Amino acid sequence: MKQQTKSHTEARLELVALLAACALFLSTIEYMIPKPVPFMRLGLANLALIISLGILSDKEYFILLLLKVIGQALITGSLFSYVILFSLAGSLSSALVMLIVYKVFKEKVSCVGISIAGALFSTLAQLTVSRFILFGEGTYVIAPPFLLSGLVSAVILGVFAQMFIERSRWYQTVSGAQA
Amino acid sequence: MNRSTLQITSGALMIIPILFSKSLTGTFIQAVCLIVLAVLSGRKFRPLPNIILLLSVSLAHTLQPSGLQLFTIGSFPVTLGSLSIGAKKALLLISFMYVSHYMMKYRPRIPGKLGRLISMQFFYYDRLTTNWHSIEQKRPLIPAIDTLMIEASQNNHEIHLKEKMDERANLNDIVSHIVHVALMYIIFAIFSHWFAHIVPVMELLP
Repeated sequence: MKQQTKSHTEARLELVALLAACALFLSTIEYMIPKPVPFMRLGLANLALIISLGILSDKEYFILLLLKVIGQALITGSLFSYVILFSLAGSLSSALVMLIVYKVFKEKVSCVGISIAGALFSTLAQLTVSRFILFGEGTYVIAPPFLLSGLVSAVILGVFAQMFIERSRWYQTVSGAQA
Repeated sequence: MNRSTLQITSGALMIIPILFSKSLTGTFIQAVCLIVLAVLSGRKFRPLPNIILLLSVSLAHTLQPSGLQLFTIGSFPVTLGSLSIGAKKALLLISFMYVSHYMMKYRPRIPGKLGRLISMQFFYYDRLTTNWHSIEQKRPLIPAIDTLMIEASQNNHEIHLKEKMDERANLNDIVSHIVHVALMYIIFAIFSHWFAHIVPVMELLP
């Protein structure tokens, strides 16, 4: 029985690690896409977080978040730079908001809604960080394009996540096993 | 000492002269040296994001005028003080970015349960990237990613975590790192106030 519990825990951790690796894979793709400013993010890695809402427990979800932030920093080499502050602020706020929205509204909200809520708070958190370490008072000038680009990428990401959840055989297997 | 520890230690030592540099020219030279060191460590250098960061941060600081007025755009004054503060800040951030790239040349090993999870994450990451290249039909994207996730999660109980052996640093590594760190301190010293007393022409540089 103890052996079975251990192998179940191990399997759950492997699922978290696989989703974290997926986030890393997506952020590598994002890293290759040229961006006008280095801290600007499309948030492709958030796809793993949105998908995981239906299959991970709260504790596993936050472990995934931690692995996502550290993994991204290790891959891009930004662990000791200011970029980690943007990543932490954006990821933490969006993950928290997406979890709250998912818990409160359950089936009443789609992945698009969750993604938009996450992106909005992620952008606001990143703008707050940039207010203090980058642009100072000038942050309000860059706020509108940032919010707009965040909104557009969130809609695309949300639609993609919804389609993936509906069509993926892997997701059906994992969510079925959890149920 | 392991190579990753040596790399992180030298990077950490470099942060001190970068942080305390008061001269804009000195900070610029330090940033250029760090970019060269990061590129030599195998990292890519893309000039455009750095140029845009430099320009955008400098321009954002012009909203808070200070010092000599250079010119006006409409009724808005562009001042030397605000431009140099912005440029210095941007160069500092660029320096930190590249010192971080330099420090992360060898992936450091994190101990404990978190370290094990990160190793597992990188194991799956290697699997995903390797399998992605072998997938022939990458369009439509959803079935391709689905196949990728199914393939990566197969046989997951037989994980053999492969990690690059963290080699011990040899004398050459130690000497080259001492030179890298010394270079940063020399640049810092050359552009400091006490050096300007010896070579007065340095006072003319921003």
